[in-house]
Amino acid sequence: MKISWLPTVAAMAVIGTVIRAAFFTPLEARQGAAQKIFYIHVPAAWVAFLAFALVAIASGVFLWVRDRRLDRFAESSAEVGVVFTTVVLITGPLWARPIWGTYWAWWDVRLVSTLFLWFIYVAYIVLRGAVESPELRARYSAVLGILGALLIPFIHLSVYLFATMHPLPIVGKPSSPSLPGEMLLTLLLSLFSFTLLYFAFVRARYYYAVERDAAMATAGHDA
Amino acid sequence: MPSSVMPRWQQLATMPETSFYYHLAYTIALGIYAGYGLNLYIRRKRVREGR
Repeated sequence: MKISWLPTVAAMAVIGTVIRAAFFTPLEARQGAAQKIFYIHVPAAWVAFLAFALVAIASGVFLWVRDRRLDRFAESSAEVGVVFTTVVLITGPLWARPIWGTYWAWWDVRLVSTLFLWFIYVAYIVLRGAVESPELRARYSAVLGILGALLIPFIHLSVYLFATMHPLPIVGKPSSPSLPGEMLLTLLLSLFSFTLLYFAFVRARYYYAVERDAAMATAGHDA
Repeated sequence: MPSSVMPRWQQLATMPETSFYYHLAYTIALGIYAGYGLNLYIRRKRVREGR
């Protein structure tokens, strides 16, 4: 069996990150172990934003040059982005419950707009399955992929614009990060390893799309 | 050591109730990633085998 290096390295990096977060990163004094959810929640949010931003860029360029490879990349990145956003939407409430005393607040703009982003890209996947013509499917989903990504800056700025329970960024703020060195190193490691996992997933999903289209073309269907 | 960091000797004894959510969050998140990876592997295998 052939072993691909990217998924292997990504999996090892994620396992190393989890071991470091669990056993070699100190507990935060007020939140205890729940604060360690930070090391999977924040990277998942970063990767989700990266994935959807790349969907928008690939979709925009696709509408210009009409290259099917860009459509396949956008399709792959959107699906992987939904997976990471799902992790954000599950780990966030599990962190919130012991700290805020509730899993969810419907009035909180950051929380609800992130859920809305998830719904938009789930709709993107449903749309791709609903349109038969490959050309129309690529065009419609490119437009939705671009429009969905417009939410990303709004979600990022929502903690500044509205009253929200969600904390402000502590690493990406204008002044210096207010994390102790050991915690900051674990966070940077987790951002790196989950970004690597994103590329491993997108690569595998892209090759799946190529093989699926080739199989459908062989069978005489439109890919 | 910054004041927000707890000495290691105190770590095991504090706030056991928050560790439930920590373990649950890691289990679910890693389960989702592993499940999606397996899903991709199976989908590619099926396409290659023409199923």
